[in-house]
Amino acid sequence: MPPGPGSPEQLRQRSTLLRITASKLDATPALVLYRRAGDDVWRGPTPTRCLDDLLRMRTQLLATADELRANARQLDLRADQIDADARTRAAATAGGAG
Amino acid sequence: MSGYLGYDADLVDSLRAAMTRAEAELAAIRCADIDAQSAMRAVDRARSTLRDTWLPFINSLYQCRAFDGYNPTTIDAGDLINSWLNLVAVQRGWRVAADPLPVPVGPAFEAMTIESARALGEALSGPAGADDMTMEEMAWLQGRLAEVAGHPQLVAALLPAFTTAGWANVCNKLATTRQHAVTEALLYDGSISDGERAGWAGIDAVFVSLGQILNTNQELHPRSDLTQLLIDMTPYAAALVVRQLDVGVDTLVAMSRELIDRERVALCYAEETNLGPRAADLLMVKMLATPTAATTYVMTTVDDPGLVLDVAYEPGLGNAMLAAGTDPASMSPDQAAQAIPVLIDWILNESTSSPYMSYNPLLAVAAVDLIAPYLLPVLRPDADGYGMTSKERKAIQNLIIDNNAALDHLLAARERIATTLGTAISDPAASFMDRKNAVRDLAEILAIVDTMVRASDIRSAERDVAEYELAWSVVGFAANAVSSYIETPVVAGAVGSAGPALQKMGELFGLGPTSVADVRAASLNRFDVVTTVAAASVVCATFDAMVSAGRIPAGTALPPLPDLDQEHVGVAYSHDFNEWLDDLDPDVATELDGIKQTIASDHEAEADANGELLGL
Repeated sequence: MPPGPGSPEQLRQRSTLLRITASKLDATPALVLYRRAGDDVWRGPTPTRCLDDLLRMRTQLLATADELRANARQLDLRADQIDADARTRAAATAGGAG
Repeated sequence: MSGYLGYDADLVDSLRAAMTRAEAELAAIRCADIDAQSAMRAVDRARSTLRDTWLPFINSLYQCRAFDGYNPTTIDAGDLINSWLNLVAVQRGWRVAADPLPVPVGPAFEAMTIESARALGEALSGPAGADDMTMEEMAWLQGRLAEVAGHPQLVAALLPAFTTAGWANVCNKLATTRQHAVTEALLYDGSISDGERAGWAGIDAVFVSLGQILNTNQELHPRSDLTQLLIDMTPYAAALVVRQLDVGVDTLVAMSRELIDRERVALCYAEETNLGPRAADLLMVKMLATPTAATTYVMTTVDDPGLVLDVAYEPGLGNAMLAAGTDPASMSPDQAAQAIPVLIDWILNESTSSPYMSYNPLLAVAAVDLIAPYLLPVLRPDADGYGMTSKERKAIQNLIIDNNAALDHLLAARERIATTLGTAISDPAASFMDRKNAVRDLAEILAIVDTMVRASDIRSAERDVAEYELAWSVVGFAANAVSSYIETPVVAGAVGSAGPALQKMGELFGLGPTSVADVRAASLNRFDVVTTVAAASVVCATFDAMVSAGRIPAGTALPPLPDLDQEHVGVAYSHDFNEWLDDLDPDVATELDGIKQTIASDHEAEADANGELLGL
C-alpha cells in the first residue's frame, strides 16, 4: 500500500526530489554562461546588458537551488516530526495497556 | 558608451552554442512538487532570458551577415565623400559597417535630401573641405552641388551648415589649384588648349554651382550680405565666386574694386609673384560683359587709375576696360570731364616708365581709344575743353605720333570720331548755328588728326634720313679704316672713296630716302586735299539737309565735288563751288558759303595751332 499524502515516506520522497532538482540547478551550464560573455568576447552597451542578465540569472538560479534545499529540509523535518509523534503515541499506547 | 558594438565572431559563436545548450538543460529540469513551483518559475525566467532575448539577438547578428564581412566600422573623416557619408549616417542614427563587396566604378548615390544637403555643408566645413580633392571627389562634389543648386529647399538646408570658414577653405583650395593650372598652361606655350582647359573645368563647374546656390539664397533672402563670405577668401577665389553672382552693377563694381585692390596690395608681399591670371583678369572679363559696369568701374577708380591699367596679368584687359569704360555710349559728358584728364595724366606719367611700358606696350593704342571720342575737349585749349595744359596736349599727341600702331589706330577710329559729329551736321531740324558749330568741330578734328599724321610722316622721314646717313657714314668709316692698311696709295684712295661714291649712285637711282623737305611739301599738299574733301563733304551734307527741309527746291544742281587730279585741289574746288553758288537762292548761298568757309578756315586755324604745338 503506497504511503498516503503527508506521510513521512511521502514527505521524504518529495524532499529527495527537491534535492535532486537543486542539484541539477547547481550543475546547469546556464550558471557559467557569463564566463563566455565577457569583454574578451564582445563589447558595447548590448553585451554589457547581456552580461548583467547572465549574472542575474546565475544568482537567481543559485538562490532557487538553495530554496529547493530549504524546502526539502522542511519536508524532512515534518517527516521526522510525524515519525516522532507516532513513536510517542505508540509508547503511550503500550504503557497504558501494560 | 560609444554606441559601437564590437565582437569576436568566433567567441560570440561559442557563446551562442553555450546558450543553446544551457537553454536545453534548463528545459530538462522539471519538478512538479508544489514546493518547487517558485523554483520552476525562476527556471522558466532564465530560459526565457536565453531563448527570447539573447539567442535571437546573437542570431540576428548572423542574419545581418555581420560575420560575413559586414563588420561595424568608422569612416575616415579625411575624405570629403566619406565625411559626408558619415555625417549622413550619424544624422539618420545609422550604424556603419564595412561592405565586403567591391566598390563600383564611380560613386552612385541616392538623390540629395534635406539631411544629406545639410551633411554636405558640414562636410565641406570640416577638415575634408580644406584638403586637396581627387578627380573623383571633384566630380562627386560637382554633381552634389549642382543638385543642391537646383532646389531651393536643399540650398536652405546646405547654407546654414556651410560655415564662412568652410566657404573660404573650399574656395581657396580650388582657386589655388585652378590658378596654378592656368599659370602652368600659359607658361608652357603662352596659350591654353582645350585639353588644358578641361583640367580645371571641374573646378569651374563647382564655382558655377556655388554661385547658383548663393543666387538662390539671395532671391530668398535679399538682405543677406554676400560680401561676408568673401572676406577670408583669397582675391582669386573670391573673384571666381563673384563672377558667378547675379548682382547689380554697383555691387559688382564695389566687390571688384575691393578684391582687385586687395590683390594688388597682397602681391607686394606675396611669396609667389609669378602667378598668371589674377582676380583682376576674371573680374574685368565679367565687367566687360556686363553693360555699363566698365564705366562704373572706371569712375569708381578715378582716384587710382592703376586699378584699371596696372592690375591684370593680361594688360589688354585693362586697356579694354579703359576703352569700354570711357565710351561715350555709356559715359556721360560730365563723367568724361571728370575722368578723362585724370586718365590721360596717369597714362602720360606711366608712359615714361620702362617697367610699365614693358608690361603694357600697347599703352599708346589704349590712349588712342581713350581720347578718340574726346579729341576736341582733350586737345582744344578753349572753354569747352578739359583744361589740359599745352604740355599735356603735346605729350599725349607725341605718345600717339611716335607709335605707328597707335596712329593707325587713330585713323581707323575715324568713323567713331565722325559719328559723334555727323548727326548734328546732317540734321534737317538743326539750326544754322548748330550746324556751323558741328562743322567747326569736324574741321578742327580733321585738322588735329591731319597735323598728327603730318608730324608722324615728317618725323619718320627725318628718322629715315638720319638712319640712311648713319649707314653710309659707317660704310665710309669702314672703307677708310680698311684703306689705311693698304700700302698702295692709288688703291687706298679708290677704296676710301668707295663709300661716298656708292651713296651718290644709290641716290641717283632712287635708292635714297625721301627728303624731309619733300615729305613736308607732300604732307602740305595732302593737307589741302583733306581740307577740300572735308569742306565738300560738309557742303553736300548741308545741301541734303536743306533739300529735306524744303529750303532748296528739288531738282537743283548738286554741289560740285573736288577733282583730286588737279594740281591744286583746293583752288579748283573753290572755283567750281563759287560758280555753283551763283545759281542758288542768295540766302541759301550765303549760308552754304559760310559753312564752307568755316570748315576751311577753322581747319586751317586749328592745323596751324596744333602744328605749332607739335613743332611743325
